[in-house]
Amino acid sequence: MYPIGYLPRAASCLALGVLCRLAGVAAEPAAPVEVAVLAPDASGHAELQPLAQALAGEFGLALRGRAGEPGPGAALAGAEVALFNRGPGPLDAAGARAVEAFLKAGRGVVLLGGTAVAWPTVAEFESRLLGAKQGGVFAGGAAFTVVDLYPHPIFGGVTQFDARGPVPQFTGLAEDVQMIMEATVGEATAPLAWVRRRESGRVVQFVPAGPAAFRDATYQRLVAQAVLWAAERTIPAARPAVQRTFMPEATPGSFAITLPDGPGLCLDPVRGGINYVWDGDFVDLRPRWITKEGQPARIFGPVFYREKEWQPLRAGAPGSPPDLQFRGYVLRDGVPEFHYVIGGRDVFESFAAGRRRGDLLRHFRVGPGSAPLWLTLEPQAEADVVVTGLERDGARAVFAAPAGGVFTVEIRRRQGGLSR
Amino acid sequence: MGAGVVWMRILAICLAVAAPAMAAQTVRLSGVVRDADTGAPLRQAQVKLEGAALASRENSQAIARANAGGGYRLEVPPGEYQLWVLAPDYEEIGTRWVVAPGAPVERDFTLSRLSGAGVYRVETLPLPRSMIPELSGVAFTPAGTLVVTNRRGEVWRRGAADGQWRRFAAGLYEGFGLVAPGESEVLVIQRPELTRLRDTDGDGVADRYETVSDQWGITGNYHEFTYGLARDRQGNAYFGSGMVSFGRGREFPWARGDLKVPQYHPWTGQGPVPDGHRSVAPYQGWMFRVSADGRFTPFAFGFRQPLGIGVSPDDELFVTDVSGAWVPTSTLLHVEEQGFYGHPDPLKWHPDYRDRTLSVEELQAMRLPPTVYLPRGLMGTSPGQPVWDTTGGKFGPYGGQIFLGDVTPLLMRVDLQKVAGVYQGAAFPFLRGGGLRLGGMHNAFGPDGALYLAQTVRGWMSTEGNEGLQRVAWSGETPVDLLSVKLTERGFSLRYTTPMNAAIAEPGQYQVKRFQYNYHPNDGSLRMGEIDVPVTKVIAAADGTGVELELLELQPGFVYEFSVGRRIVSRTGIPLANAIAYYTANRLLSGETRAGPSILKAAAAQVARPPDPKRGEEIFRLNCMACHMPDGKGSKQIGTPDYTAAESPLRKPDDELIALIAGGKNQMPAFGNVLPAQSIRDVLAYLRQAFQPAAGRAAP
Repeated sequence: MYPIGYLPRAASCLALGVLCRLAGVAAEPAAPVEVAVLAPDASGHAELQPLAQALAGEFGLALRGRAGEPGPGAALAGAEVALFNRGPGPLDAAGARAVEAFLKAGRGVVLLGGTAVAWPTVAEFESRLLGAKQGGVFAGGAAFTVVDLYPHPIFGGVTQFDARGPVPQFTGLAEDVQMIMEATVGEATAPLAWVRRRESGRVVQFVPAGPAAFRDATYQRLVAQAVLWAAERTIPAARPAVQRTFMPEATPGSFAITLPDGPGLCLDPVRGGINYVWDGDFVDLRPRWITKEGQPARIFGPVFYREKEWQPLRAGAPGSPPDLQFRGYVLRDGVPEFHYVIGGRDVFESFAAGRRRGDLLRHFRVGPGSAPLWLTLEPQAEADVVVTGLERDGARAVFAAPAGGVFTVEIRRRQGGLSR
Repeated sequence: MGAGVVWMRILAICLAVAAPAMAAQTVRLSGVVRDADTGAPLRQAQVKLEGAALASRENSQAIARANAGGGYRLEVPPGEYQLWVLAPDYEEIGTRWVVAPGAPVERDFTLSRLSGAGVYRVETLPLPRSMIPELSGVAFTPAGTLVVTNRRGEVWRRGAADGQWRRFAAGLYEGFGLVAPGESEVLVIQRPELTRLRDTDGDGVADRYETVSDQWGITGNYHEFTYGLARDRQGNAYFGSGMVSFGRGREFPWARGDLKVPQYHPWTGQGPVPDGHRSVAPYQGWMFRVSADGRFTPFAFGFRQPLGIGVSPDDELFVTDVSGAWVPTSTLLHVEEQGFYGHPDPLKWHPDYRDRTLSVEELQAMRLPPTVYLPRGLMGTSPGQPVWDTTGGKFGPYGGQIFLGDVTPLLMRVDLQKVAGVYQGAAFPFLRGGGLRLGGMHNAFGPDGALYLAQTVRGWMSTEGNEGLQRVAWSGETPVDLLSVKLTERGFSLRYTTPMNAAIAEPGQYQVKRFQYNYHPNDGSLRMGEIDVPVTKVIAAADGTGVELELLELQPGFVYEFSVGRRIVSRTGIPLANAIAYYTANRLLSGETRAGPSILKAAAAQVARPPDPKRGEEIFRLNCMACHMPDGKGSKQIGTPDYTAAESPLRKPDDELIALIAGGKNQMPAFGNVLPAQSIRDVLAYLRQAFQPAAGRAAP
């Protein structure tokens, strides 16, 4: 008998927002995520017991599925995310159809030690779902160190994770794969976790898996947050990520910033504006960090907003000479507020999620000054720009209050792009 | 046009023509490096060759690292080389190696263990698992809190009371040095700016990231590091910008500042620039000063890669620069405001020089010479931050001296001497081995009197994961070492850390050499004019702690190498931990900086072996044949003469021809810059043997 099935559904609902260990902030008043829990066999289900108890009990997820069920169809029906211990295993025709339908439905998949052997009925599992090829054992099974937890909402509230080997070595990561955890032995490295944002749904793979990992409290938290991410839900413990680095199409030293639910943006303090906004998670910094002759960081996800004009916010007149001075930033609960001096006026800019998930709200505070501030709004093909607190004049908007004040610029992505 | 530029032009032609032949005619050298006592293979040994035949390679060097079995393997052209065999915890081998053309050569080496083990202990400090251990900066607060930064842009603090590590800041773009004025404030250098981090709410985490200064250019090239950080007692912060490595990183569609890509002193030779480091964006290759109130001053210029920046207890700025073009070997520089330190490309940004091009001679005249050369071979490759022993004796007997790390597993020591109002001095290897890691770019003495080293080399060489933080502590036992080397009226004064035996009075226990380096656009310089300087008199102190050496000749403008013999041991029988020192004598006590006529050159000529035409043939093939042609008939197109014609230059006397080869003529470079005098005599012997001028009268 599969113990997860014994967990009272009410208990998992009760946990949400009350006992939730996910964060120090109030949980959203939303229904719990429905998670199908699947394994190749009964022993795979048994291994998952401590993890499943944590997910349902402490993290408030609604789990579906049990050992001995005749195929995955019942568990997958209505589930937002499927959580696989390695994979579904051999399936009859009905089961294979159910899995296929789930994958095509654009729902999330979380793989714990996902491997092609456990997905015999899904053709081209590695390229289609996993996004990597499995090779031998990493570093011959030597003890490794988890060297990186790259900034990603899944790691919200987690600063350290210790995995134990041996683990398989995965190579040939697909172009859209974003590695979020890495291991090293000496100079050798191996991916330990990665994410994909597919049209067919979000995918998370954790390479470490098995009974010891499933009992590990940090691992349980990571899996819970991976489920939320795969379900496109807010991860309460996630914080904005801010990293100054070398971004593509930006002055070196620009900022990569992502809000917990997106989007990501590149703030260029030399040009004096947001160079672009993309629909995705944080950047991949490995191209900059791992090698001697580093390349710019890599972004994942479509760009839906771009600026090119040098210093779009100017004092006096739209054509005034650029004179922006960058003065740094303050972090408030992880959210940066940037400080510029433009024409002698202090200008502070911070960011928040827009009205719709994935939109961006730029919030400006302006200090006293006689010179009006002119903002140039470049035409956008994939976004609408809505300003408040400014007088709009065609492609420009002006802030004219000598005493100072606030204004906002909201960047709304137009519909029709790739699936989030 | 300077001789160096001409030389490079011709060398490039020669190399381009001869490259295929050279590639085909390298000699394979191999062997095993072992422990002299146990015979065990030394897997961390390095075998380095440096010589003119490797002029096309970085620093004219070929380096092999021994494998697990101690085996090494190199492929080099035939030629004369300076050989170094080095391994952590072992005495070095430094000698000449003449590689003849022909069959592969197998040569094993045995190294003896260094003495002095245990006097200084190297301890690797544990770091939190969540810290990426690519540590690039280390400092202490006045209250003794250890603060580090890393290449990933984090700042961490280790509490002085509880020893716990806490992350203070993150998200910076390559932290590379810091100072910590207080418990809630850190000044850190990151690539684009000098930043002040403040914790204003007392939670132990920085919440304010204030831009203090960002008034220089950056391009995104991988090599344009922003170096620092050091601060004087007035609160002035000093840091610097390295140059880009042109064409090897990302090119520059986005940059801060207007770019000037063409070289200030253009490379006019054929083929690629031998060292492509270039000041492309504003003030690259400059040192900066930012006052306590935030005023930015481009402070000094002409640096290639000013990797190590330190301020002395007297608030004087010292900087290390890394060997390459215009920096013949790595150096320690006493940096003065508006001083020029050698590399011409940063002159693009100087209002007095940006609109004109200075000749090599003008550059040479304007350049402030290195305070102390750190000769390649024993003294590392890329020196780090200089820090002063102000521990009041907690670190041993070297109070007031300078310690600096290197990208190799080496700690160096420098003892300065002010001569006629200007600093110069001696450099010593201090620690080689004992578990010392690579990449000790930044150092700081802690309140416990130990030296803390922040270490990272990610991407530049294999570390096998060994980056992080080490602590070098003194055991309290007096080391047996050379303490200081000072210039005197007639030679040098050597001081030991402890009384030595009677052998210190024997002149034969002191080998002194002197040499110079070329200031030129080549990638580093070989040792030029290296020659023994006989010790004529030794006066030992009665207490055995020092000697006065008188030399046959004392000239300014040379590096003096001191090798102390093995018979000199402490009175308790302990050998010297390090028996080598290099003194940079830019000037004599009188203030004289120009060398006068030397009696040593004549003496050296007398003791040289007879010229060898067979060796000369190989030198001709490698260095001359591309322009002078195998048959010696020259080339009208290139402008080289016909040795077999009636007006052959071979009709001239030896002295004149040697001077011509050494000094260069027209398009021919000054081979005296790269070939030892013996090699020039060898090649002349070959020319006289191989090519006979035709009968008839030579043109006047």
